[in-house]
Amino acid sequence: MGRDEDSVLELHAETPTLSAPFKMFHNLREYRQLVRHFISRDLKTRYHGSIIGWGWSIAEPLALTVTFYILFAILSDSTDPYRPFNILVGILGWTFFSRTLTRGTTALQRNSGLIQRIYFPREVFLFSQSGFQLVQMLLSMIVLIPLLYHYDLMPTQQLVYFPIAVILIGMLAVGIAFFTSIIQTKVRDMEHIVSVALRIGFYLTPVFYNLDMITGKRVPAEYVDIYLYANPLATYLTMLRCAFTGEPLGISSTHLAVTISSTVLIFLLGSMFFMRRERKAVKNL
Amino acid sequence: MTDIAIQLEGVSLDYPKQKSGGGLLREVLTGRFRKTRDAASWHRAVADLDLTVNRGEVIGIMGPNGSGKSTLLRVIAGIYAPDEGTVRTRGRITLLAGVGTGFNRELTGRENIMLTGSIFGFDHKQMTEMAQSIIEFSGIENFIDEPLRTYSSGMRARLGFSIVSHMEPNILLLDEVMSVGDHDFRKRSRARIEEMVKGDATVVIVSHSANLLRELCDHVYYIESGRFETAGDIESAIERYQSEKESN
Repeated sequence: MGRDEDSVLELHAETPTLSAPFKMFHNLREYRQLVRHFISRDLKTRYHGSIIGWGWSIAEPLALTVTFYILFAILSDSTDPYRPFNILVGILGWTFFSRTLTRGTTALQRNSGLIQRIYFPREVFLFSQSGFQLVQMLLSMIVLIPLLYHYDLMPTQQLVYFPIAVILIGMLAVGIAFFTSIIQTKVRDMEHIVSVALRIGFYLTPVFYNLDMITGKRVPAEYVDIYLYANPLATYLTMLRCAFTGEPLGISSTHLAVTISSTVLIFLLGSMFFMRRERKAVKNL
Repeated sequence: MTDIAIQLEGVSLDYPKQKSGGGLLREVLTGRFRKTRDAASWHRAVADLDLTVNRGEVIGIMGPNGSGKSTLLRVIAGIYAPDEGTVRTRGRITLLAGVGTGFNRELTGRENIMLTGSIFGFDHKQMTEMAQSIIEFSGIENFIDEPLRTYSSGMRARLGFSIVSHMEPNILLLDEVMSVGDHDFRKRSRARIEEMVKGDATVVIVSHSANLLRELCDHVYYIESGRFETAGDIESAIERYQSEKESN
């Protein structure tokens, strides 16, 4: 780990682009202990000095779920048998995405003191941030267990959607943060753009309602197409729900294939952009 | 070639000038298409520098404030990539500039040792071995399992210095020699720095102190506006620095 006595470091004005994803993978392996340390530091200090501490990571999504449940009971005639469960899963998945992206966008800026004094691969900040949010989501998911009991939901083979959806949500959030974190060092409008976009996205994504409310009769089929391609999160949150409820996805395999490959592409392009720009971008800090 | 620890070839580095509002918008819209960098948006901090430092050599750098000394160290440390030229370094590099980097107030002293160690690229096993010696040198054994926010600033500085001085880099970059803690600890830290400088490591020191550089260095360069104005001779660099200071 780290650099040894005989390793040679060469820095040029030009940095390679195509090999960037491999270089990043190599860096993360080498600095995995640092990623782990950052995650555990954030976990230890997140709820420091609070009375219910970790209870907050459950209380917050629960409160939102109750609110939306009541709101829906009044406003809609949806017949979803698992409604509170689905709302809760949607909120937890969305929170994972939006926190990773928000905190990722300002990651370089917030850590400027460290960045200017010692070199280590800066992508560590983005990955440890998403790792921390992931652990938080998994811990919050404990609250799903009593609900699973209540609805008498047994694990099916669809449970395999769960890790897939989680990885894709993380890749999408980090993939976008690769761009926004670099841009944020120069143009501080970025964090505000991200925050507005996420607020709008919260309503345009099936977080507190289900995808079938959009794919159902209300929206013409050609718009559903565009919607599913433009909002990968709609697919991933639905995967997350169906992993537990065992209900069919209701998304065609073409849609799935295009959505997943676009997320992978965003991640790869983002990693190239990040690796190419980070050592120059930190001069703005 | 294997005897060279640091090699800079034609290295230049520009800082962007911070803008906001309309100026920033104009730059974002047009900046991408501009080939040459104009003085209105860029400040050249290091200009076409060449430097070769052999393994084990101690190099001093003197210069007025804003002459590019600290930036040069950051380029060597790999914190910034050069805008022109190439930087080649061999081995583990530590930049000593301000102690306590990366400390977290809520974690204990011991946890901060492990955290800082992993920032410097050491693994858990190496840090566990080093921890005892770090704690002893810092002289705060009694508080090491208390959260850092309960420490006085002097205690924090002592812990910080103790950690970085245990990192045993192959290349040590010192930005001004630090004075931390009480008189007794200052003496010990100064001795520790001299010990590191006189050891195997290749060292680059940025300092205003002629006596310190005379005592420790093999070569000293005088830097102004990002360029070396002297060729490495210790006395001529010091002379140049002092005459420059008097004329101001």
